[in-house]
Amino acid sequence: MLAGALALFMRTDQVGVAATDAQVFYQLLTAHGLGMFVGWQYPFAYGLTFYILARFLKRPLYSFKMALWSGIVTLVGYYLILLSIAVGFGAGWYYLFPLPFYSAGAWSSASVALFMVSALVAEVGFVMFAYVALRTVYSTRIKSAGLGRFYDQPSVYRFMQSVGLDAYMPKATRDKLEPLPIPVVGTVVATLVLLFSTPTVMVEQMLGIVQITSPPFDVNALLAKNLFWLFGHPIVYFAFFIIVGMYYFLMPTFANRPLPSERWARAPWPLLLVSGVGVYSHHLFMDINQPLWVNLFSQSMSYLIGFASGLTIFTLVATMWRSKFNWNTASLFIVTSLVAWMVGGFIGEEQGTIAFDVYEHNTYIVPAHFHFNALAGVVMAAFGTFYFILPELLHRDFPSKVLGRIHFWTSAIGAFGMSGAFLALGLLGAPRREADVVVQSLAFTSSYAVWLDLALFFALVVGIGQLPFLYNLLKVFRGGRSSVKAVT
Amino acid sequence: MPIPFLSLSGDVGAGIPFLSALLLVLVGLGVFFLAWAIYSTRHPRNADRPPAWYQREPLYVLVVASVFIAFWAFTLPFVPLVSSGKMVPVQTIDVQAQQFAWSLNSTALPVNKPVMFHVTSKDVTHGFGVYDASGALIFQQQVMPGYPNDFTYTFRQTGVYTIRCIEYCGFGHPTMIATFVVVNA
Repeated sequence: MLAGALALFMRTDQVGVAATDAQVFYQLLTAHGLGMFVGWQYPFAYGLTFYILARFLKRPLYSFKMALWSGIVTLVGYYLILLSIAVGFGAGWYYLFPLPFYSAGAWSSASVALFMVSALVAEVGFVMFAYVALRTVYSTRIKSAGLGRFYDQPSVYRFMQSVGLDAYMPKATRDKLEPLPIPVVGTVVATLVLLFSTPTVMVEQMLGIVQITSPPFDVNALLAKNLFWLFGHPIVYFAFFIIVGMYYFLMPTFANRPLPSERWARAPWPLLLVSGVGVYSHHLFMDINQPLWVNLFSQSMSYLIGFASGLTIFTLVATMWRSKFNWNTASLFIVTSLVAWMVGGFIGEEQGTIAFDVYEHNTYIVPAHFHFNALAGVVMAAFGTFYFILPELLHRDFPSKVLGRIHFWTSAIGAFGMSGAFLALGLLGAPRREADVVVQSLAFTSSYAVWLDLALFFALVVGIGQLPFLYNLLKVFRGGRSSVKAVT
Repeated sequence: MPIPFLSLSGDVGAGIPFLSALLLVLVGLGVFFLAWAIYSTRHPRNADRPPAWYQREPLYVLVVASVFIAFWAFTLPFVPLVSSGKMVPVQTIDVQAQQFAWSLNSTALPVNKPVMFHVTSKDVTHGFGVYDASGALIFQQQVMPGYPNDFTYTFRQTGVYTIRCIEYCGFGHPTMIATFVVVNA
């Protein structure tokens, strides 16, 4: 299962990276966004979750069969989505209603219907995954090898601990509780966010199918936009929160000392859970028809998530401070992703302020924000996790340290360079999602050209930088099938 | 009530120069902090226990929370719905958006007087982004079909302004450009 998820991670990642270079086609734009989310993020996050549950809970999955099927269903949905894009659908990964139904002749209703159905299939996979993951954490019917006392506690305590609420309990109570490892808290919070947000997008897509099949029916655009973003923003945290949970395991491991405070390490999680969903309306800041109080609430939630992220970084940096830190390919990736998280976070906070967003909404600052966070942050951290876990599972190291370092430096320089070029474009006011950003008739757009060239250059650096990784990966796997099975 | 350094390009919020400077300072401080932490691992000291400054985490909580609260309160008057609602327009411009063109009932607007854009869409959601002659994005709003998208703004400078669709609206999206002029009335 793990080996399968890891292989998928690689394959789909390459699709995503390739599409990054080709900014010109809206179909590719749609495929790139969805490829990264559904095709890469989900298989990776599923695999990592199952690894974390097995390793830190020391208990088998609630249902291995269902876990496997959740992955299969998600990927079937994903490949059907790709098919719908291949046959014409190109409304972007967030396909603002009613755009799918007004293609100006560019795509057919059939491709829209196929897209909606495929997305629903993938989402059924998400729910199956959430079910298996949460049952594995909470069920008392599974025999556990470790954490015995945890499952003897009342269920309300188990739930509160699983989302980090124990940090807010009095010391006397905390001392009596058997702590839950933080990576498990991360997967629970990520899965709960996924579970809260998936039904809303399913409703939106079902309404969309009704609109295609019975034309007089017209979905309200504002309702649809709210339903979509209640899903669309929270799910970006799905793989990310799981990664953040891993930080709390990896950083002490690299630094050869325990976390400075278990309590502060748990304190951010309830905040992340609430704000992870609550931030959603910052995608509607420029909608004058969205109720003001909803937007002000989401602005507050955007601040709260920045605050909670800051707490996390503070604790992780303290773990590293003047320690005997073990610098290797894995830790280089992990620490660099922390830097990117912080840089992308500051950009996000600026956009999360409504009065500032007037100048930044839908400009290149948005791709700058999420490429810092998703590419230089989550993907880099995923590589770090990968370099850490794989040798452990295979009982052997990557064959070449040098290739690992080349992979790190090219990925880091490329990811930061490209996101930085996006930021410059955004500050110049260049709109995102334009097939032709530079327009002959608009003299001021000529200043964008140099940054677009730089972005392409750095994107190529990232792309080429994956080759040494692929080579290293092929070598470490060659003839390693039996040992993988033996370990998992 | 425009606060001078906050209203570099108009009546709403802060302009790009302010935002760029803010980012530069924040990112600079953050990267400096992390770079210092990374450098500190070259000279391990008391490697078995956390740094003394970590005891001040409550101070961090206090400082960051107050910065956020200050930002919240300080920027509230500049939230488009709040600032736009306070102004009484002297002129209303009807703007209609459709795939893939803008149509305006007037292309000459007065300077230093509040004007209201009454923007509607015939088909999908468009983005009404207004650029000044230097290429700075000075304000924007989403144009949602089925709703009036009204927004009041006071232009401070005469000249040619460009409207660019900044919400993806179909394959012809990049061609959706129009211009108007702001003149002394």
